Amino acid sequence: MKTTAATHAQGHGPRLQPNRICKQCRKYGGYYLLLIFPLLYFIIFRYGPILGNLLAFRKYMPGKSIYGVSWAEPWYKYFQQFLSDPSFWNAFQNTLVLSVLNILVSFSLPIFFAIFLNEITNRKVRNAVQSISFFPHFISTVVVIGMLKEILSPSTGLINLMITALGGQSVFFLNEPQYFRTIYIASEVWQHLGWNSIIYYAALVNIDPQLYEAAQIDGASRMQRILHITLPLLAPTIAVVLTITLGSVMSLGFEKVLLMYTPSNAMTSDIIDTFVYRTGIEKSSYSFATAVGLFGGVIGCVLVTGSNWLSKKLTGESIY
Amino acid sequence: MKKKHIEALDLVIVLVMTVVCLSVLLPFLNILAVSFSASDAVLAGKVGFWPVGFNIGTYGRIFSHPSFLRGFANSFIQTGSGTFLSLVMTVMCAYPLSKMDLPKRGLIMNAILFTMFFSGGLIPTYMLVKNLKLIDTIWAIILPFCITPYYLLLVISFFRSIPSNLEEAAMLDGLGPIGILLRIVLPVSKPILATLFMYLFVYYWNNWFNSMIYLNSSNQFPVMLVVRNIISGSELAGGNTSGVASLSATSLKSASIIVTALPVMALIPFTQKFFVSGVMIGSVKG
Repeated sequence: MKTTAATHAQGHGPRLQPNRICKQCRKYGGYYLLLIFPLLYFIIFRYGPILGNLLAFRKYMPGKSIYGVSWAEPWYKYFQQFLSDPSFWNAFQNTLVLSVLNILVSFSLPIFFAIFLNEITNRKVRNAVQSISFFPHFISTVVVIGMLKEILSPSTGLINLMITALGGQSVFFLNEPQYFRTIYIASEVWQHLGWNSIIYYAALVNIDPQLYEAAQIDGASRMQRILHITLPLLAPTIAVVLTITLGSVMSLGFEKVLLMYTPSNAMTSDIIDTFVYRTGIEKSSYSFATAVGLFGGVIGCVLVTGSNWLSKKLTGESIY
Repeated sequence: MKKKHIEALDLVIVLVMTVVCLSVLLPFLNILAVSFSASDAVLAGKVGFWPVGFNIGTYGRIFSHPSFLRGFANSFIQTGSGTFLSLVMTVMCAYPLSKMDLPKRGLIMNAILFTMFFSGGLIPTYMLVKNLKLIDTIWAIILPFCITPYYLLLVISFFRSIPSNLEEAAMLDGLGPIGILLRIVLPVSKPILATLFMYLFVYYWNNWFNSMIYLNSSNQFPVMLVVRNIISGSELAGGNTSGVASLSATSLKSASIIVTALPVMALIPFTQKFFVSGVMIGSVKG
């Protein structure tokens, strides 16, 4: 593979002989034929919307161009508008708080889960446990939130039945802003614990069993083996996942938050994505919502690029 | 001494695993029990993990509910065509890009990778779909999402791992790139295609948000959107029998949750192997 790449690297300079071009055509024409539709897709549906961000700086008229009809005056008008909007700052703060709390919890638990899973010696039990822990990951957010609403229902929900049976007052958990973050993070853990542990589990399976055998001969207990063999060998994976996760601070489970959002818990449940959705799609303030979305998108892009760079620097590995 | 240590750790592991498994299974059991219970028992709060006043009436009601049935049909059509289109497009894109000597490969790859870091965002995408007059058609919910760069990378790295001597032999036999892809590469790519199929099937089946913003007419709604509307109360759970509807709304919600989750749940045991290998392909890419 490498040698062919090298010979052809010299071949596609700017001044190609006509017969060379034809040779290239014959060799690569089929590949480019395959690429036509995918590239059109990327140009229209991926770069189109990227260009569409221009709307953040332009005035929109219904029925006219989606890139707006004229420049906003001043060009940063819509940015000024949302930066002075307290409900934007509420959403901004909620995004950061929810995200950081979620990362703290959702990042660490799968590591322990994978280590414990790896300690189960019975293969059938291990596979069964793993299957069960995967289950919720593939369930639609609609179903997850539907179940959550049923189970937390103030009148017929399981949790409130238990609370009232113990003599307590039933609580409308999903309407109370102070419970939103806990419920969101708990449901994220419930849904993705097993799935997020796969990457660690895959790393654990690849550890040389001879290391454990040697340690066993030296009289190391299982706990000592976990501490001195498993964890150090898992460290690079943990470092990569952590840095990449830190980059995703701006991207929360938008659909889940939207399903859990009610006007009464908005104080904590309104995040940037739902703010964009409400102002843009529901209230049709397209330029304004595009500006907010662009703001969030640029911060997200910087964070992802930064964390990816950091990961490469620290561990020599990166996702992209 | 040594034995005691092992037992303590085992206890913790058994405890943690039991808690995890129960926390996954019990909510499903509860919803399942509620969906099979008589509505007065549900309202009185008597249903835990076993049906009280067992009956399958709620399921009968669901399957005679017009928008639910149509939603099911729509979901299968949309999921089927979306998955098919995505598979074809992803393979068409990944195969040429798995050839390291393809002229301009670096440029194309960078252009695609860029969209992973920075995407157009909700409103510009919505405006584009609207401008292309795709609103209220099936295209609006499958076209804009048909290639996911992350899955594309998975397929590219799989194609790169196929030994090149197979393809070289076919090339000497006079087969062009498309012929090689169809006859040599795809037949040995079943694991990655199965993985991709599952990812895509789950994505399209579980989708409701795109349908909500891009589809206007309710006769096109997929079942997930119908269920979402039933749960949020904007669609009457009981359909035409409005008098009884409020009584058994909880049972109906539960039954609709179970029924919509079934197709995906049924697939998981068969494909767990593929999912795990799919993630591993991604993780060794480096």
